[in-house]
Amino acid sequence: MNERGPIVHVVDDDDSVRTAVVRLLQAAGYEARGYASAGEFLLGRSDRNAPGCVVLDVRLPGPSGLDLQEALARLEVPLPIVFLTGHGDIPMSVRAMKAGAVDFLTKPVSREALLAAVRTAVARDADTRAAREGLRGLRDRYESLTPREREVFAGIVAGRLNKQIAAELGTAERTIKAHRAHVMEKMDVASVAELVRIAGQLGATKPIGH
Amino acid sequence: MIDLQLGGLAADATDRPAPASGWGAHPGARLAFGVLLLGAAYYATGIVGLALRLEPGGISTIWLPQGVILAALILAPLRYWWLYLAALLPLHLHLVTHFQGPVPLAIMLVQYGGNLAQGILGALAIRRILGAPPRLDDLRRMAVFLVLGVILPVVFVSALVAALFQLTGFVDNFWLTWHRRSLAGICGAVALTPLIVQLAAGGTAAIRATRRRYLEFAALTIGLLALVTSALVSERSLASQYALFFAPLPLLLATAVRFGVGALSLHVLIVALAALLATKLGHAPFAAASAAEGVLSAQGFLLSVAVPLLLLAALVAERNRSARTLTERVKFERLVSELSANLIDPPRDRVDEDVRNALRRVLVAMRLDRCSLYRYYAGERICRITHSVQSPECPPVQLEIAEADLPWLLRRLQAGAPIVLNDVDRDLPAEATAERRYAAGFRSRSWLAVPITVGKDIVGGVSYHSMTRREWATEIVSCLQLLGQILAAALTSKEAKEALHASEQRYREVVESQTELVCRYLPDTTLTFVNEAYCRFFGRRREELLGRPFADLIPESSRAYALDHVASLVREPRVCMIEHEVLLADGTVGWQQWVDSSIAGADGRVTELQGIGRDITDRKRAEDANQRLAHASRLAVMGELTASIAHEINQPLGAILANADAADLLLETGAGRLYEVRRILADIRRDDLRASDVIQRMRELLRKRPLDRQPVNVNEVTAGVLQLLAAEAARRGVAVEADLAPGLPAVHGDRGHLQQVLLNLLMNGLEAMADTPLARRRLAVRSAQNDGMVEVAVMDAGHGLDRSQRPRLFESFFTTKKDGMGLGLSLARSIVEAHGGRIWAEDRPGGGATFRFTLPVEPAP
Repeated sequence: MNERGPIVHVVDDDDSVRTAVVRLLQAAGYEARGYASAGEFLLGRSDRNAPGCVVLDVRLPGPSGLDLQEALARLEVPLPIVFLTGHGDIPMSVRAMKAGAVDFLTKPVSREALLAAVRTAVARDADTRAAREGLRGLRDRYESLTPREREVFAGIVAGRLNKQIAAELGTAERTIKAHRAHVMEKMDVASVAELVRIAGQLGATKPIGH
Repeated sequence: MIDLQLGGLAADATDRPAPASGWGAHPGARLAFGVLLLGAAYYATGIVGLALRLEPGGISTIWLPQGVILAALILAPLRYWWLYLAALLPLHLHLVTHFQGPVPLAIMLVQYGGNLAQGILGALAIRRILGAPPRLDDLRRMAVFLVLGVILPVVFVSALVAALFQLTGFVDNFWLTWHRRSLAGICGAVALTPLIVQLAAGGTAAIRATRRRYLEFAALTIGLLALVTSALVSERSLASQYALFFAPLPLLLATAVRFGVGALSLHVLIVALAALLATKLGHAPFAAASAAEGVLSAQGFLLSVAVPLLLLAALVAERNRSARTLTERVKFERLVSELSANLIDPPRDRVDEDVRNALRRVLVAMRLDRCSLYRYYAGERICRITHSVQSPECPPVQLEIAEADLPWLLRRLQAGAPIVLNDVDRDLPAEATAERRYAAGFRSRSWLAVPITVGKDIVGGVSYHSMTRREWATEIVSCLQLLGQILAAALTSKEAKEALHASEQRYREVVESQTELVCRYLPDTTLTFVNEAYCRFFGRRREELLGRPFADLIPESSRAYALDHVASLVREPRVCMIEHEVLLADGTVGWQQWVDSSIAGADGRVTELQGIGRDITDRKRAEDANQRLAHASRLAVMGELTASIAHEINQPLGAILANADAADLLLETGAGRLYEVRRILADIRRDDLRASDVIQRMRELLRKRPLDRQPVNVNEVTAGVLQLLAAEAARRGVAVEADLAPGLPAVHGDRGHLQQVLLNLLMNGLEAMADTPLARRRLAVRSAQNDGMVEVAVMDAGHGLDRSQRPRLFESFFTTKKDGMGLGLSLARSIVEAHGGRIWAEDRPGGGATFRFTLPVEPAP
């Protein structure tokens, strides 16, 4: 993945608004692209997997902004959304925020508010990506564990002593200790606490025994 | 006194009507009677004359038969003279033979012939100069009578006769014969002829006029008789004889002055006879040395008394007559001018009465028997008598006379000159038989018909009748003509007034029965005329309205407007319409529509204005209510759209702000190129205008406006409204389709109101689909041209129309929406119908409703 600057996607069916916002973002240093409809954004080449965020109007032809929000959420790495709408009412904004939007702004919007929101969104996106990146690394390391090691991993994380784990698995304690060292080494952790943390991150809920 | 109706003499006493029947009317009988009377008179006077002879065989001192002959010849028509004279001859012969003694026949004949000649000459002269029958009532006539009628012929003929006698040796003294004959003849004629002639002409009217006069005359006559009798019978001293003979002179003078020629001649006759008798008897004062001298002096006395007195009597009579005529004329003229003054401008309903009064007064003043005013109708050729008065003895008048009945009369009338018939029998021409019969039928003896002209046309006339003969003097005729004109003028004026009144009534009725208000006012709005409807409208009486400015009836707020309007009409006279408020009778404010016109005076300046108005309070109130309804509805709908509207505005505003910020950043970081900044500024401008456009459109919709008809493109309006509603539709998730026929003709209507209709229908459509599944939410607008109308259909896929509610769909305040006002459709309907179109709703087979409306196409210019 090439490291580019974040791309801000501006989706608004009003041409002048879209143009102006794109202009503003570009003047602020972002790479910005405009789309006239949700369809155009979803169906065309839009680098939506690249880092960035979306500045989105609610009123769009075809699926609305809120619909698009739903759709984006199902992406592997959903882009954060800043809503920028011509009219808003409380139910709409509540719904948008509950669905995870970064902010819900109304037009006309001051540049500080917009850029701040975009900044936050981009940062969140970066964080999300970084987190995801981190998680992948963890996953890879977990994948590199043998099955026996994964069992030991589960037992360690469950807080069992080596002796108990040996008993459960039917091997010697000394074997377990060896596995434990491998696990610690493969997972690149220095303590059990870290391992537990990683396990939590991985969400490994595999029950011991499988 | 004897009333002489001598046969063949066409003179009747003026105060006796013509005999309608009896033997007196028969000309043959009258002739015979006349001859007899003449014969008797001749004989009687002959005896007297002979009795007064100087000596037997001598010439009479006063040959009265001469007077008889002269009188007879004067009065009788020429064609009968031979008869009379022939009849008298045997009488004369008989007289002379019996009373005078033996006289040769030739002598008698010569004498008779001489008498006749005298009579003939005299009568001819008198008839020629004075007419027949002569009136001896003025100086000239009397002088002519005496000189040419009596003296000259007698003297001349006597000379001839005397000469003849002299030549034949019958007499030896020419002069003696001559003067004796002359004097005898002259005395006889002077004494008797005037009497007879006056009796024939005037009868005893002058004397019997009043009881007093009768007594006076009787007294004079008796006195005279007494004097002469006593002078005759008694033997007195000479001085007293003289006195007694000259004493009658004052009496004679009195008679001459008071009773005229006829009476005087009677008295003269008496005196003459008495004097000659006295002389014959030898009484003083005429008895003198010789009988002949005595006779001479008596004759001299007689003539010197008679002739001047006759002349005096004639003069006095003439003067009296003039005076009387003058007085009468003056009286009559005064009467006519008084009547004229009365008739100049009589009240319409009194005219007929006044006319009749006028005629009656003329009737009485002139002692007529009938006065009739008649109208001549040239078309029908009929005379119709419209007003008539008559004396009681007069037979009633025939009211309608056709030209066929009296052709001569009507022809003469059309000639335009008055018809003057002093004596109907004599003065009507022979061909006027019908007229004669007509006059006889109404016992009309004297007739005057005076035509009345208007311009050059004879429109009628006045007819005056008298049952006795009279003279219509020229001045009287012209006076009556004048009267006739005045009567006609009065009647014409009455007819004109009646026509005017009727016409006024008609116009008044038209104006008063109007349901529209009619008024007239001065430039300062003071009312000068109001009709019935006006009074009723304001609930005031006419007197309360006239003379007050109608500005008082206008509420203060509108007063200036109305006054301005009036002022502009005064400046520029024209016909102009205005609608303004008025204060109604019940205190509320109403509206009136007036069409005012200015009435300019002779100098072109506006003197008065006239207004025709009608009450439009109801219409205005309805319009007002409609407008308020529209406004309220608009506001209501607008309220619903606020969200969408806000959105519409915020878009351009947002773009403007973003653009401005972008430009700012670009300039700040120095990364922008100038051309890019200019592009940004251009975009800002465009968005600003877009924003104000939206506001304008909304203000248009919100403004309360009266119907302002212009050519409107329905598709344009629809597109505009769709744009307004686009946000709302999107918010509701409704797909909007527009199928607007291209080339749609313009409709003649109010843009704002039509926007309103579309707005209402589209909003209704959107709202109807609130519960429809998202995928099926579709709103379609279709425009097309149908049958010369533009038709717009709004179709939704909503809940459709409930059959039970269908009839009430377009009613005001009927709604099926939870929080709707129920105004949208009723407003839409009133707008569409005000444009002359129709609006209705249909169910869609697949669910939902279609609302359609039509609008008439703008007529081609």
